[in-house]
Amino acid sequence: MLLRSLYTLNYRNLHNQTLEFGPGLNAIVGKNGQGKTNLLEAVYLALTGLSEAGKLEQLVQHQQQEGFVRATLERDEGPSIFEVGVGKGRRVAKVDGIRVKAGEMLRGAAVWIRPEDNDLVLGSPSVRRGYLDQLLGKLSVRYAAVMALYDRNLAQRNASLRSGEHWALEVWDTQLCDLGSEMLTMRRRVLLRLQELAQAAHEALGGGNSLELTLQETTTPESYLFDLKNRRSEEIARGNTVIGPHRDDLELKLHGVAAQTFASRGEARTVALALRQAEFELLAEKNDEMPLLLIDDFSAELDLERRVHLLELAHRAPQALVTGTESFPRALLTYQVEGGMFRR
Amino acid sequence: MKYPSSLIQLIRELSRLPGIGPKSAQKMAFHLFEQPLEDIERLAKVLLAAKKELHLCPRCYNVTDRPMCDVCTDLSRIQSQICVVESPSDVIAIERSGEFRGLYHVLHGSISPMQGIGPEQLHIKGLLERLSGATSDQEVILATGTTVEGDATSLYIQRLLAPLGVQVSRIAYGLPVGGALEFADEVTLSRAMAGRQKMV
Repeated sequence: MLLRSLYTLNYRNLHNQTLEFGPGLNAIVGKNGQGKTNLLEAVYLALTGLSEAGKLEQLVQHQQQEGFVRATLERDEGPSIFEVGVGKGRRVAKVDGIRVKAGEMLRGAAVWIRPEDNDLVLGSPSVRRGYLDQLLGKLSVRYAAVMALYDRNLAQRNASLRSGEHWALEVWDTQLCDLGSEMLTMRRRVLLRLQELAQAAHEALGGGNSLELTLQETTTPESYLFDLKNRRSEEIARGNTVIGPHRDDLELKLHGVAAQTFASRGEARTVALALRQAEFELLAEKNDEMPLLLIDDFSAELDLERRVHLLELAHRAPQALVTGTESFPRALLTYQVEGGMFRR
Repeated sequence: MKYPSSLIQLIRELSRLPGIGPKSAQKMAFHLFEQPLEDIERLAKVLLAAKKELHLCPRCYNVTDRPMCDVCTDLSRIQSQICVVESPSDVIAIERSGEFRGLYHVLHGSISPMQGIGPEQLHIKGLLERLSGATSDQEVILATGTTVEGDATSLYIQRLLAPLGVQVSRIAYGLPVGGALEFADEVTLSRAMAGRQKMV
């Protein structure tokens, strides 16, 4: 898959314009706050229908009601047009002029690498869980669908726990166990390969060979129902479901100790980068189309050696959009951005 | 300018109807105002009559204007089959198919703790009463929706009925007839696959 062009209308601070991209490394260079990140977000929105930047209406330019992005793609089967319009609490997604649900767009089309990735290592378990769930959702529509059902069940079960009457608690247990077990099984299966890829990337980044990824599970498919029964009184007291895939952590260890507690900022950056590289490689392996690589704020907190490595990764991808404050050597195409206006 | 208070009241009442937002309610209110008085009187009469004459069938809880509903009083229907559905409109949908010749039981909702709806808020007790003294010939078909809540409701009833020794089945999940496989979503497809039927 190749992103040929992107048109934005009323999108954040971006000028309404069409930008063209080529295969290889596309550089976007400018000072901070000019619209580099917004452009990557607009690309992500156009491809996936999803926003990582928060509420939909926040994507729309100040004092405008609706915003719009259109991506022209070159896919194996020919050219294709992806469009997403957003307004207050509303989103209209179209592929080649036909309306689709956001989930039916290219969920796994892009991998983001950005400075906030440090939170993957230093942040709370929910960040790492989010990484894992998002990655699995990119690999399998089934996982995303099962997770949506799981979340719905969980909300009903928690409401039941809090109701005082514990309406049909056993029934929610059964459904939660079925769906949760499927999630756990899929997570375990993906983790094996993810672990290998992350370790290799970490080593290549000069971080050594001591990175370990393990799932900290609060229950297992085998003991799920039993564990739920055992924790019943605690769950009723807390009004919350305390075990299950929504409470698990993807633990990262360096030299045998938890990276969340012991990693330095530099080490954390390297681990985060390894996780993103592993994500990219896993998607490239499992999905039919190679993902687009989006690297935001290229040089953030990276030393020379790691910059070289990241640049190599960007060159290895069929297509990468890379933002930074200084121009890139060997970039195929460079846009200068100032105040939301892009110039080649 | 302020709206006259009777107009505001009318809009407020109309907007309480399902699927009607404030804008539609306003449109309807002005439309009603423009109609001849006799039309409005007829509408009001019909509304009142419907509310006064309609009630739930004491046996199956479907909506009826008779002491007992048409289905329950029709002795040609198979008395040993009860199809459990969420709403009266589900009964109409199944009746339209003409496939089912048994009886119904309408729950009037599904279990949803988030909305404060538990089994006691549904007509589940009535179902159990109907089944007291039932033999193993009796079949209960659970045809609640395939939502999370519909599934939970079916599972709940299935557990309640287990000790009674009646046959319990769940309506099949599957592909829409006339729909191509490629357009089915993942979950529907995998459920349809799991519920496949042997041909040879």
